[in-house]
This record gives sequence, C-alpha cells and structure tokens, in this order.
Amino acid sequence: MADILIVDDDADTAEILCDVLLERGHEVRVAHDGRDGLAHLHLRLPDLVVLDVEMPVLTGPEMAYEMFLRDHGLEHVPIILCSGVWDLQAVAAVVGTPYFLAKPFMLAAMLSLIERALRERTAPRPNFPKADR
Amino acid sequence: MTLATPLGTPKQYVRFAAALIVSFALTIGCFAASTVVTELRARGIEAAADSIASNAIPSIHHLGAARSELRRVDALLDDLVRRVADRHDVDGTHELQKSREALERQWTLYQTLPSYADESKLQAAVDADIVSMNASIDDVVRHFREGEARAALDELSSRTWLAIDRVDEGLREAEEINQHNAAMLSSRIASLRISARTWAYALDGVSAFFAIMAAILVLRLVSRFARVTEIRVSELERFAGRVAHDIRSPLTSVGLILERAQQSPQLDAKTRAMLGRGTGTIQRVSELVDGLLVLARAGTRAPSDASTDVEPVIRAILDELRPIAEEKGIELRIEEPIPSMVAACSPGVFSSLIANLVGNAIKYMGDAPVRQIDVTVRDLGAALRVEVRDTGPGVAPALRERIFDPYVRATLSAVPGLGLGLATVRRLVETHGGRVTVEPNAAGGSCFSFELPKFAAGSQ
Repeated sequence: MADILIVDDDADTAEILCDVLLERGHEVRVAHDGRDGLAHLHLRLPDLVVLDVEMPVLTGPEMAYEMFLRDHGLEHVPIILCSGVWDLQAVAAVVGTPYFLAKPFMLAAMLSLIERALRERTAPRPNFPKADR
Repeated sequence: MTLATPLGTPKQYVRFAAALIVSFALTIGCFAASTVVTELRARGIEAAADSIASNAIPSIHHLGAARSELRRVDALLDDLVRRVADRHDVDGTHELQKSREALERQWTLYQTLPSYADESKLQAAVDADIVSMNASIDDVVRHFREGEARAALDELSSRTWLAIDRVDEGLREAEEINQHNAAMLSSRIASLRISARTWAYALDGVSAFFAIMAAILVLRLVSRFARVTEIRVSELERFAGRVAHDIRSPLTSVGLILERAQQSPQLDAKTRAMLGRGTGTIQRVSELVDGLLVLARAGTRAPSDASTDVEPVIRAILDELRPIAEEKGIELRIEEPIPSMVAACSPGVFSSLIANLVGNAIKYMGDAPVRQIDVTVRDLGAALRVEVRDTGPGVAPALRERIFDPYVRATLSAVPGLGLGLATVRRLVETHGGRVTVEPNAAGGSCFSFELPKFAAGSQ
C-alpha cells in the first residue's frame, strides 16, 4: 500500500478522498495549502501527491516547483493535479506531470488515476515560464 | 466614486469627448464661415459685374451715340448756314430734325438706366442744356425760314453753339462718370476675388487643422476604448474562470459525498437511485459550467496570427469520433481529396468547430434508417467552407433561425445536452470573421456548415 499526501484547500473533498484511500489500505496525510504540504513532505517522502491548483499561501504549481527546486528527493514524487481551474491541462503541462483530473470528478476516475500514477511513478518535469520564477 | 482604469478616469474621457466635440464644432464652424464669406464675396462680384454689364456699358454706348448725333447736328447747322448764304436754301432742316430726335432718343435711353452717384444732378443739367439747345436751334431755323439771316446768325453765335458745347460737355462728363464707375467696379471685382480666395484659404486651413485634431482625438479615443475593452475581456475571462473554479470545487465535495453515500450497504434501492440521480445532476451542472465558460470565451477575441492546416485537423477529429459513430451504426465519411488550405484560426478553434458539428450529427442521429454523416471541405477563394451533412431527423424549419442560439435544442429531449455546442460554434466562427448556416440536407437530415477566412501571411 502507498503513502499518499493530499493537498487541497477544500476540506470536504480532501476528507472524503482521505477516507476512501484509507479504506483501501493506503497511508494518507492531508494538508490544506502548499506550505503545509511542503512541511508534510519534509517530514516524510510520500509515494504520491494529490495536489490542488488554487490554494491560499502557496499554490499547487508553486509547491510543485519548490519540490523540484530543492533536490532533496522530492522531485521524484509523482503529482496528480486535481482542480476546477479552466485550463488544467495547460497547468499540468507547466508542472510537467502527465497526471491530472478536472473537478468535479467521480471517485472511480480518481482511484483509477491514483493506481496508474503509483504504477508508472512518472516524476514531474516542471517547465515554468521565467516570469513565474 | 471614480472608476479609474489603468488607462484613465471617466473625467478624462469626458474631457476627451469635450475636446472632440469642440474640434468637430470648430471644423464645421470654419467650414460654414468659409462658405458664407465666399458666398458674400460672390454676391459682391455678381452685383459689380451686373452693374458693369447692365448699366455702365449701355450708358457709355448711349452717351457715345448721343454725342455722335450732337456732332451731326453741329455739322448740319454749319451746312445750313452755308447753303442759306449760297443759295438761300432752307430745305435741308428735316435732316437736322432727325438728328436732334436721334440724340434725344439716345439720351432718353441712357436716362432709363440706373444712375451712379452725382449722375442724376448732371443729367438734370444736361436735360436743361438740351432743351435750351433745341429752343435755340428752333429759333435759328425759324429766322432762316423767315429770311432773317442776320438774326439767325446772331442766334447761332450768341446761343446755339454755346448750347451745343454745353450739351457735349455734359454728355462727355456723363460718359466719364460711367467709364470711371466701370473701372472702379472691375477693380472691386478683382479685390473681391482676392479677398474671397484669402478668406477661403485661411478658413479652410483652420478647418483642416481642427479636422486633423478631431481625427487624432477619435483615433486616440478608439484606441483607448479598444485597450479598455481588451482589459475588460481579460478581466471577464479571469472572472469566468474564477467562477467556474469556485463552482466546481463545492460540486466535487457534494459529488463525492453522494458517491460515498451510495456505497453504504444499508441503503435501500430507492434511496440509492435517488443518490444516483443526484450524482448525475452534479455532472450536468459541471457540464453546464464548462459549456458556459467555453461559450463565454468563444466570443472574446481571435488571435490575429493564428493559422491551421485544415486537413490533418479534420482527419484527426474524424478518426477520434469514428469509433463513437460506428458504435451507433453511423457511417462517417469525408469527401476526398480534402483541398489543401490554411484557416485563419487556431488549431484548437478549428478542432472545436469540427468536433462540435460532427459530434452533434452523431448525437442527434436518433433512429434514422439511413445513418450517414458526410464531411465536405470546399475552397471558396479567400475563404473555406466545411459542410457536415447528416441523415438524422433534421431541424424543424421554425427552429432553424434559432438553432445557433444558446440553450436552443432540437426536440429530441431524450438526448442529453445543454444547447451550448452550436452557440459556441457560431460565436467562434463569427469571432473569426466567418458565418454559420443550417439547411435541409437533400438526402434527408440537415447540413450544418461554416465559412472561415483563409490565413493570408502578412495580411493579418
């Protein structure tokens, strides 16, 4: 079973997803913004991060960039971007992850994507525009 | 409250508009003044020319003729004196009478014409001189006829020649007055022409200056409004994105809660079905938000340098949709060869247009016995046309006018949909300078088509 970090400012979504994953035997931690998420990452490296895009304090792409920047092994953790933003595919391209799912999603779709990400373990390759750095 | 934008405040716009109105008003005012000045000068020229043509020149003509007759009277009197002295013949006086009458006729004609200043006074004096001259001549003729040659000669030398000289002097003066006035009027015409031209040039110059000012202000205003509009569109896009995101997030929670609740083993079938309907509703709301966002963005702006090679995009979309069509027993065909053309829009926009029209044709095929969709691409010169013909139930004539409006759907209520797809197609096409149409397909069903300008490098 995997160690999964959910980073989402929508507490209900994060909680339900957490419950479902716990029921399936995964170890799950929940954070509600990017900075909180980074703190959890530094405590212990997860197998997968399910990351929202728009969050207070530190956004999903900013957190992904921080993960990539430090060269502490965080850059190898696969990321599933999960958000209701309009151009999620473009955001995923910037973060460099092949895993993304638009909100609102069906549980089955999310579980299937988590399984795929854990199986493939493709690490993100950020492609941030210079202006964003 | 002042609604300041990065480009200026409403107060600045009001100042701008006021400057524009003043510039326009001054342009029109100068133009009107130029017209009035020219008209007044033209009237002056017309009056002067009229006075020369209908007064000075005929006056000079009549006065000249009168003087000529006067000289003839003078000569005839001389002749009479000689004939009387030589042969005592006084029969030639009728010639004298005729000349005097001719003189008086010319004088009368001259007097019927309008008078210049001081001319009336002179005319009265000449009138008196003519009367005096005629009386004296009558006396001379009478003396000759009565055989009083001595008295006739005395009359001639004491009164007649002097009277003739005075009349001649008066006629000459009148002639000079008319010549002088003709010269003055000619000079006035020249002066009026110069004045008219100078005023017209000056006022036209001022008018042109203010017209250029107005044009510059209009350009600045238009450019400012265009920039403001662009900012507003960007703000609206961001706002729409924000709203969509903020709606989707709680929908996710509600959807997940419903899904979780459905998984509870204690639920009876009815409750489970109700929860399932709730989950479906969440999906529809999500689709509605997506559709509205696509529609809102479709009507914003088209990038000027976007271009799409139509053939690969059409083939890719049809390849993607073919399995779905085949699943429903529909044959999806493309008329070969596809003309090699580049549309003036982005590949995403072109894909969306094809996918929407072909997707719609598949979706609304219903239970039509003949199940075909034909895609045709035509080269129209400066534009291209894509036609999607289906053999479905068709669009009712009453609905054709409105089928591209948001939320308008064909009557197949059993087919899920929001009625935003065709509205999006129209907005996308019209934003790119094209047009959409729907007409009945000859083989049954409908023919949806759109025309888009071709991409022309350098002209965008």
